Amino acid sequence: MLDSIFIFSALALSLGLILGYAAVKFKVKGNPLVDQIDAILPQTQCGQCDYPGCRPYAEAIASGEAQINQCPPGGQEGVDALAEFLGVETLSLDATHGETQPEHVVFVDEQICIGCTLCIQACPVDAFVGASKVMTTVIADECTGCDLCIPVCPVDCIHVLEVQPTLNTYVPDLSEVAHA
Amino acid sequence: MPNQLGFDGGVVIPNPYPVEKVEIIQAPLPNQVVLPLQQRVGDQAIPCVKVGDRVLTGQEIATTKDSFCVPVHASVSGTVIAINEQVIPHKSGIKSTCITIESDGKDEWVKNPGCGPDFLHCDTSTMIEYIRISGIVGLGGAGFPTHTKVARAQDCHTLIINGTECEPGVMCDDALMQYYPREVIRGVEILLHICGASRAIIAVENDKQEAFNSLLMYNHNERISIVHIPTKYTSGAEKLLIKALLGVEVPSGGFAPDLGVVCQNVATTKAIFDAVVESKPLVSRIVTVTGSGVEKPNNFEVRLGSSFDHVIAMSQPNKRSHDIRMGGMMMGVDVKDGKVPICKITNGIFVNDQSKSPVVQECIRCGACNQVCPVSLLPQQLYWYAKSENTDKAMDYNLADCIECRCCDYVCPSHIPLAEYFSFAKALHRKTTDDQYRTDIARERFEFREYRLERNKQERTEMMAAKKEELKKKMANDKAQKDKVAAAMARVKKSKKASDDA
Amino acid sequence: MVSKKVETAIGMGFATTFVLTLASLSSYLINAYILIPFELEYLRTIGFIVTIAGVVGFTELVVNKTSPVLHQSLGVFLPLITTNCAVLGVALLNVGQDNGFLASGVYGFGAAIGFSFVLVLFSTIRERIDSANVPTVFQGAPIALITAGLMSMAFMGFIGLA
Repeated sequence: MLDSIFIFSALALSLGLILGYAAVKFKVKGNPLVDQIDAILPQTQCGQCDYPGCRPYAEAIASGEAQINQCPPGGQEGVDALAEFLGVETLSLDATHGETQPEHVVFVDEQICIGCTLCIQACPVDAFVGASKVMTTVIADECTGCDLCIPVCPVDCIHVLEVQPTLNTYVPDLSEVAHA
Repeated sequence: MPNQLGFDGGVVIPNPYPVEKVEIIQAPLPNQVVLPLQQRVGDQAIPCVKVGDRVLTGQEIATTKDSFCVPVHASVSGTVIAINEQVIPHKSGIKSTCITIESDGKDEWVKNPGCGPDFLHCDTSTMIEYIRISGIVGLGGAGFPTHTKVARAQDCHTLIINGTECEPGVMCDDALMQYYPREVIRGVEILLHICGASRAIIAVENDKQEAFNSLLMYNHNERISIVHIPTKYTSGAEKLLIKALLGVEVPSGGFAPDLGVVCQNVATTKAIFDAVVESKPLVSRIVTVTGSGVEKPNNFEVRLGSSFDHVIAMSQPNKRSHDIRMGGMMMGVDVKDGKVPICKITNGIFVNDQSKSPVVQECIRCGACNQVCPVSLLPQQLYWYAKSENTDKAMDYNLADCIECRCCDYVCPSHIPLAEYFSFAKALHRKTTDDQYRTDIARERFEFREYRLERNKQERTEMMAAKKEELKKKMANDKAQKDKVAAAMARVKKSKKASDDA
Repeated sequence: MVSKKVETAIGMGFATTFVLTLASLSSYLINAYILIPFELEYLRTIGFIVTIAGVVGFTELVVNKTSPVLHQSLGVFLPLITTNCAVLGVALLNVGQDNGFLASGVYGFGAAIGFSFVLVLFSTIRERIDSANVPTVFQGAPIALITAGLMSMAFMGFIGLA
């Protein structure tokens, strides 16, 4: 009876030692989960999720600190994609963090701009071109529509421009297709 | 010469609107023409005229930034009255910038350079340039810039001239081959000269006997052969025609010129003749007007930019309300009204009495679509993936190779608009790929900005530290100076005292 | 969850093959050199489970190192291989058939290949069901179980082979 306990303890101990050694030898640096969550997020860098950028939000989701439904620019599709990736139930978009806006960019009204550069400093992706006391303008291709520049402008000269589909970017609605 | 010509897949569709005799009617000059700047392939052209300018027929009115695409030409002489957004024949109904010219009725042409009838002494790069500046694109419906296709051919061994015109009901190429055979043959000879091919094959469907005979009569060049093709829808698709004639399969995503085969539509060939020999840019084309809504289906040689109504009126439309379609019943696009302009790729205008479209029912998985696909795809599987918006899986099943011929639509017993789903899936895939690319760039820019701010902070701290060091050194130096001065003064005092004492 | 996509099913197949082969071999060794010499056959079940749990833990670490993506997509189902009755079953069958060391390994490997094959087949069917018009009452688990039942009936054709 005693030797069976002894043998099994020895067995369990040796297995534990092997596992311990393997844990050290096969250590994985970094957290690839955060990278994969970040890849799903829309990179608008707007902060509506209450985190200073998409990567901090991804880290918060990975650590379980944040819910997956805090990102308005990703929309409901983004929440569903996160839910499918993490293998959890999907939630509906949390409206307290904002509403999903249609795809848009911003532009500067050059008649009013005073060259204060506050918008340049606010933009999380450096989509502005300009300098102090010099005309400032937005590089439309780089603008993510995060709207962080709009409240900082002291003369309110930054406006929203909805992106219209062109002949090359037009995607018909699936319900139209079904009854073509 | 190929001894067995057959096509996998495709459907045999009887001509819905046959005519007694194929004719061409010269349409009168329109009062105004609307010329879109966005052609089927490439970026939008940039206007080089202003509102109010007088232009001549064949004058370049819009140019392109690169040499991949072709310029836009005035199709009548007159005054530019507007450069604005107009409706163009596209299924989205999205408006696009067009130049509107009001005709002065004189039809004065510009004088363009050309090689003249003795073109063999002209070098190939000049000829290719003439083809480009004459605005020639694939007139079979694809609209691909001809000069780009022809210039790409390295070691071209065979030229294929596509006179099949497999779209049921369309007869503009038939008419062209019957009434302009000399120009077509000369055009083929020009292409042979440019591409350096050893032979040319003109493919004609076997229901176009008059066209076949007409070409045969004018062909005295032993390098050109004229061949019958079985009458079957999709016999005219470039890759399928090459496979049937030469047994060569152009790989998925590949181009025929890379395999030494250049395929041109017969109307494009005639346009090449016009451009190279007679120095006439592409300003008109032959359009078939047919359908259940017109009494007299016919072919019209009409200036580009004329409205659809301009030619429909000449076909004696009946008084009922109509659905108008550009292209054909299979590969065409529905057009809202007859005011849209005729473009370079408008080969046919179908005017049909309005009828209820059949009710779409559920897919019964019969597999009839799989059997008729000429490109050997699985339309049924693509349908399921397109419906669930799973574009990745659809692309795995070669969605990109779908030519949207609608053979699958034609045989579907549930009347499911399969090609619409595929077109939707392609557009969705293009958009998601584009969005993903932009998202990745946004992430990079954000990360760089973080790095830049961090680096600026670092630099500032280092700079402050360096300044502090410098200040310390300076103060230490100053102290050293002060000490020196004090020591010197002390020495002076001491020596003074000594001299006083002495 | 694992069987919903072909890629994760293939990954799960690999992981189970790895576990089953290692587990069969180590179970044989435990049985031959510890349980039988010390007359502890009555502790066979516990002993095998402990070994299998250890092997699964080891496999999890290897998978995490070689393919973190796979580790993430398999999630909790990787440690749940421990509770897969096939693993314990194969180990006990080896004992019952008096298989030697090599024979145990081959038997375990073969069983795992069969398991992977069925899992991958099932996942391909599930992928197609995903895009199909399944009636609302059948969506999700019901249609998956019906599919599994139909597959089992198909595999009954192999009865004659054994």
